Amino acid sequence: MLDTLAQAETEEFENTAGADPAVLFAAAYRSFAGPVQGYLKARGVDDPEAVTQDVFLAFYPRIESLTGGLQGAKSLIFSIAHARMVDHYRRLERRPHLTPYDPHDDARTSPSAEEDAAGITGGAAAMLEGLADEHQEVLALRIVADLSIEQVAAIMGKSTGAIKQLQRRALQNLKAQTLKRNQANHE
Amino acid sequence: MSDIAGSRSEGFVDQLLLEADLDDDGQLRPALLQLRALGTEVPEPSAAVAALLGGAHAAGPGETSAAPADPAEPAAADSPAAPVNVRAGTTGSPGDELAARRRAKRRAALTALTLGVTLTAGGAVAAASDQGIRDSFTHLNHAVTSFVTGSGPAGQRQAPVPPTQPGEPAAPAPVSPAAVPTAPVPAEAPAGVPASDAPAVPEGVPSPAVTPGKPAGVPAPGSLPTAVPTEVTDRLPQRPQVPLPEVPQLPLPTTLPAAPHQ
Repeated sequence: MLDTLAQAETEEFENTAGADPAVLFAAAYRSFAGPVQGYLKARGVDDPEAVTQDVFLAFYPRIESLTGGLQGAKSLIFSIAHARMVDHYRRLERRPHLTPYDPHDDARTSPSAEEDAAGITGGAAAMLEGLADEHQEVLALRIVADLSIEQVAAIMGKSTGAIKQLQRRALQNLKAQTLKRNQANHE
Repeated sequence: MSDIAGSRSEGFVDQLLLEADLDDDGQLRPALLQLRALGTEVPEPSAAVAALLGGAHAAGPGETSAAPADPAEPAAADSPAAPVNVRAGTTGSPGDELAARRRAKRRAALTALTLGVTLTAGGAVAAASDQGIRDSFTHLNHAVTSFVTGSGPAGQRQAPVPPTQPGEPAAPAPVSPAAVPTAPVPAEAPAGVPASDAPAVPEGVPSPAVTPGKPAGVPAPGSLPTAVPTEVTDRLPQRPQVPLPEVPQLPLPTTLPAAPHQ
């Protein structure tokens, strides 16, 4: 539903360069808030909901200089989200890990049987774990954020050929990783 | 509509697998569909975003081309005020570390520049306050001024200097560049000096000659006259006095004794 809505609004805003910024902002939020949150979840950012709001708050003042309608807004929003994700990991690198042991916070537990049974997306966020950072980024931007090869190349600062190659290798690695997990689950 | 969305997601995943030559994969496809489902949940807008969305809803959601004029005005009135709040919120948030880092870099560069300028200025002031350098500057200044002023009327300046040399053999030599304008004064001074005592002469001689030139040279001439002036100053007044009266007096006696012999 969201995809069709986003597609319809993208086509609608295609030729509205001088549209009202508030209306464009509302349409951008309805179309891209979910993908932005999913992208931040897939990349393992803490509190993806709050960062999503922050991304849209940073997007609003730049609507005036925006070109390209909703497609341009999409590129800009995910550029901001990408920058926030990079900031998050830089902050993590600087932060010392000095948390005392608490059994309630111990993540070394067996996976939830309900999630396994229902196939809830909670496991999907951890699906990209174990891949290289660039592979994670390409898959998150291509699959979750639904960006084109050119948009991903612009956000990551690489050529389209490099993005295609990265995507191919990332899918192969993801396939190998999924096979391993499935075998481990069966055992 | 969820069926349409699902079919679109499946189409996208199929195309992705086809591009990677993995289209016949039965395990990767559900994983990618699961990953794509991450972006379907729309989060509830926060208070700040809801305020911005509220302005948009007042303007009419979805009405882009046919937006009426009246609802557009409050949205336009909100838009200049809203970015101020938004910018204040974003700058205060910990997410804008890049901008803060750039600001810190700029501040460090400014601090280094200010420090460098301050150190240079302080060094220049310290160097300028040194006595030797200041004296060298005054020497240079005197040399330049004497050269510039002395080059034009050279014939006039050289003329009064020779009379001072017989008047003062010791003092005028070092003081000559500075004492050039006051050359007639020391010429008169020895005339008054021989009337007083001999030890008073060395104190009186350098003082008129040195004061126009440089005050730092006072002790130096003071040491010189102690040995020299007792003999020199006795001779100095005699030389101008003796030849002058003798020249007119001697011819007279030379002619007079000629008469007694006759």
